[in-house]
Amino acid sequence: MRWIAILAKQARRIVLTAILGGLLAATMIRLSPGFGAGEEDLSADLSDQSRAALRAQRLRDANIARFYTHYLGGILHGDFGFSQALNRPVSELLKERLPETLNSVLWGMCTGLVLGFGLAVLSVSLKSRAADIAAGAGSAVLLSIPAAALALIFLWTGFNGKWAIALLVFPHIYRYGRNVLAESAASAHVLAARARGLSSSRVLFAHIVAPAVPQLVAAAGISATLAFGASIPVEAICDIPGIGQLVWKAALGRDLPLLVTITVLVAIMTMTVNSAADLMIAFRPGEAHEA
Amino acid sequence: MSAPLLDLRLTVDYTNKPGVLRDVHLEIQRGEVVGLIGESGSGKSTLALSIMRLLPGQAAAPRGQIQFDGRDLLRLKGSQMRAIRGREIAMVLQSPILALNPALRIGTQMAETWRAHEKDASRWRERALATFELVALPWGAELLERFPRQLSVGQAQRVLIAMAILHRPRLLIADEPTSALDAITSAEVLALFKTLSRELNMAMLFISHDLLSVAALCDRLAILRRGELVESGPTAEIFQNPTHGYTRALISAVPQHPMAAPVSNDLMALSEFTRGQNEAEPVKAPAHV
Amino acid sequence: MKLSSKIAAGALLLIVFASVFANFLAPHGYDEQFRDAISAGPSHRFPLGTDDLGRDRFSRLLYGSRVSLVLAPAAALFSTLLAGLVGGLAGMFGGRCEKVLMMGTDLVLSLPWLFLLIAVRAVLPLDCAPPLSVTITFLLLGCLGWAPAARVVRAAARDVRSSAFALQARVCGISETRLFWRHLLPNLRPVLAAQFLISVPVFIITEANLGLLGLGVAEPLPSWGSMLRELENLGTVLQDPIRNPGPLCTVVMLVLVVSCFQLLLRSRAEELG
Repeated sequence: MRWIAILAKQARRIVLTAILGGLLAATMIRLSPGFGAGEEDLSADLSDQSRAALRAQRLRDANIARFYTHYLGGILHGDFGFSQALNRPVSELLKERLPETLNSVLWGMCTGLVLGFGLAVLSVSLKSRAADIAAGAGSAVLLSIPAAALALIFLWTGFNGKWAIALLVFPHIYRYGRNVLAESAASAHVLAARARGLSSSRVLFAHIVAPAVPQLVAAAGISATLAFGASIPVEAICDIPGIGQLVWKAALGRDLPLLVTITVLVAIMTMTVNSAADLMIAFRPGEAHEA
Repeated sequence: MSAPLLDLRLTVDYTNKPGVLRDVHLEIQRGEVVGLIGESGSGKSTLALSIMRLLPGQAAAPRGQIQFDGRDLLRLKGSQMRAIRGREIAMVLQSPILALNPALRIGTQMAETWRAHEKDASRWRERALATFELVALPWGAELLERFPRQLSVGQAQRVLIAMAILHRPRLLIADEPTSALDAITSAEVLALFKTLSRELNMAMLFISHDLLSVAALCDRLAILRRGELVESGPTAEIFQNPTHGYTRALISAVPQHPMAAPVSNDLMALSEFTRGQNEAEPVKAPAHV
Repeated sequence: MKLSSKIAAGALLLIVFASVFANFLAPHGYDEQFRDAISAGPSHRFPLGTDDLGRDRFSRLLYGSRVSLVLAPAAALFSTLLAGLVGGLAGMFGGRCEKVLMMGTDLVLSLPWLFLLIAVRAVLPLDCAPPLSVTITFLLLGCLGWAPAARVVRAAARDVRSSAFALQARVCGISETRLFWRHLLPNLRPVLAAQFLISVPVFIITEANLGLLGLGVAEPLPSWGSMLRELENLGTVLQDPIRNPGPLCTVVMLVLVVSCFQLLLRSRAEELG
C-alpha cells in the first residue's frame, strides 16, 4: 500500500532529523568555550552542597555520550532539562509558551496563505495589469523589510503581532503562487478549454488552479517554516510570551540546552507540516488509481 | 453558389512583430474541407486563433472582418463569442496529451464541455458515448473514468476530436492535429476526419505543414507564406498546375516513392525559399483567462 | 538591459561607492560622540541628526552600509561556493555520495533558518570586539546558508550529467574529468550566479534581523541592523519624522537595496528566458 510506504518514509525522516539534530546540538554544547567553568562558582548564594551537585552535573555532561543518553532519557520521561538562564524546568516553560506561539503562528500562516493565494488567483484572472503590479510592488516591499523592523512598526501601531507574521508569510506565498498559476495559465489545455467555450470562472478554477494544487500545497507546507522563523523577532519585539521570545532570551543568556531543545522541537513541527503536505499531494485523485 | 459559411479578410500585427497576417482572404463553404499549408512562422496558427478570437494579449487587435454565417465575429461581444466557441466553431490543437487537463478525468471534461452550451446536463453521458462511437473509441464508458495520462496519444487525439464535435459544430478547425502522431495513427485520424466531415456535413479548416496529408483529405487548398496567401484553389488543380513558385517548391519537395518513375525534383528551387526562415511561431497560449 | 534594471544597478553602485569611500564622505567618525548635541535634529553639521549618544547618524549610515554591503555579499559568495561544491559533487557523482550529501543538506534545511542561526550564534561569545563579531556573522551566514542553493545546484548538475550534450561528449570518448571541467562547471556557472544574487538580499535582511535582536555586529561598529534598533522609539520617530529621520532612512535604504537586487534578478531571469 503506497500510503504506508510514504508515511514510513516521512516518519523515518523526522526521527532521523531529531536524532541527528540532537547529536549536533550536544556536540555544540560540548565544544563551546566556557562549558567547563560553572556559573555556580560565581554565585555566592548557593550552598556548598548545591554547588557540588551542579558541578557534578557539569562533569557528567562533559562526556558527550553520557550527556546525550542522559538527555534522551530525560525526554522520554517528559523532562527536557533545566534552563539555567531562566531558572525553571524547560518542560514548564514549553507548556506555558507553546500555545501562545502556536496561536500566532497558525493564525499568521493561514492569513498569509489566504491573502497570498487569493491575490495570486486574482492577479492571474484579472486582465488589469495595474492590480498585478500593485500586489507585486507591495510584496516586493514586504520582502525587503526585515522581520524585526516590521515587528517594530506593528508594536507602534498597536496591531497584534500575529498580523506581522501574516504579512511576512504573505509575500513569499503570493510570489510563488503567482508564478505557478501563471505557468499553469499558459499551458495548452487552458487554451483548449477556452476554445470549447467554457466560462472564465470554470477555466480558472478547474483548468488553471486545479492542476497547480500540488505545488500550492507544497508552498503551504513551507509557509509553516516561514511563520516559525518570523515568530522569533516578532515575539521578541512585540513582547509576546511565546517560544520565539524564549529562544531570544535563551540566546542572550547563552542557555544552550534550552536553545537546542527548542530548535529540534520546532524542526520536528515544521517537518511534520511539510510531510502532511507531501502526503496530501500523494493522495490526490488520479494518483491513487495508479498501480 | 450560396453564401460561404466562413468568409474572412484579415490583417494581424503583433506588437513586437508586424505583418503576421497580411490581408489574407479565405472562404470556406458549408461541408467543405479546406487545407491551409504553411511552414512554422507563416501565421497559420494565428489565423486559427483569430477566428476563435483567442489571440494572446500582446497581439494587436485583428483588422478586417470574419463573416461566419452572416455575422462578423470580430464585432461580437465576449459572451456572444463564447457561445459560438465549441458550439458553432470548434478547434482541435496540436499536442493531444497536453490539451487535456491532467487533473480531471475524461468524463468530467466531457461533462463540462457539454454543460458549457447546454442547460440540461443529464444527457451528457449518452451524447458522450454516442460521440465516442463516431470517433471509433468503442470502450467509451471505461474511458470516461480514466485520467489523460492513462491514454495513448492516439486515444487522446480521438477524445479531443470527440470533445470538439460534441455539439456538432458547423466548422472544425484542426491545427496540425497529426504532427504528434506516428504514421499509422496519423492516417487513421485523417480517415476519421474525412468520415466525420461527410457524416456531419461539417466544414473543416485543416492546418498543416505536411502537403501529403492534406492532399488526401482536403477539397481545396490554401498556401500561406510569411503571412500572405500565395495561392488557393481545388486540390487537384494545385497539384497539377501550381502557379506560384513557392507552391511548386513545396510540391517538388515531397519525396517520391523510390519505386515510382523518376520525376525531376527541382530541389534547387527550394533554396530560394529556405534561406532566412525557421522563425519560431510567435503564438503562445494567452497568459490570462 | 531594461531601463529599470539599469537604474537599479546604478543605484546599487552609487550606494556601494558611497560606503566604500565612507572615510572621505562621512563628516565625522562613526563612534565620535558629540555630547553637546544629543538627539539633535538634522542640521548642516549633522545631515541626519544625531542619536541618543550624540553620534552623527549620517556617518553611521555610511559606515553601516559598508558593513552590510560587504558582509552580505562576502557571506553569499562563501555560501554559494559551498553550495556549488556540495551540489556539484552530489549531482555529478550520484549514488552513495549524492545520498549522503543530500541527507546532510536536508537536515540543515529542515532546521528553521533563524532558530539555527541564533542557536549557533549563542554558542560563540556574545561580548566580543566588533571585528570579531563581523567575522562571526560572516561565518555564520556563510556556513549555514548554503543548503537551499545546494539543492538547486544538485538538480542542475544532474540535468547536465544526463543531458544530451554530455551523452554526445561521452560517445566521442571524452573522459569524466574533462567532462567535469569542460562541460559541467561552465553550465553550473549561471546557476551559481543566480543563487548568489538570490542570497545577497536574504543575507542583508538576516543580518538586519540579527542586529535588531542584539545578536549581530557589536557596538560601536554600526550596521543597518543595529541602527534599526532606534526604531524601538517609533512613537517619537513618527511624531516628528523630520527631526528623527535616521531609522526611517535606514529602512528606506534597506528596502531600496534589496528591491534593486530583486529587480536585477528578475530582469536577468527574463533575459535568459
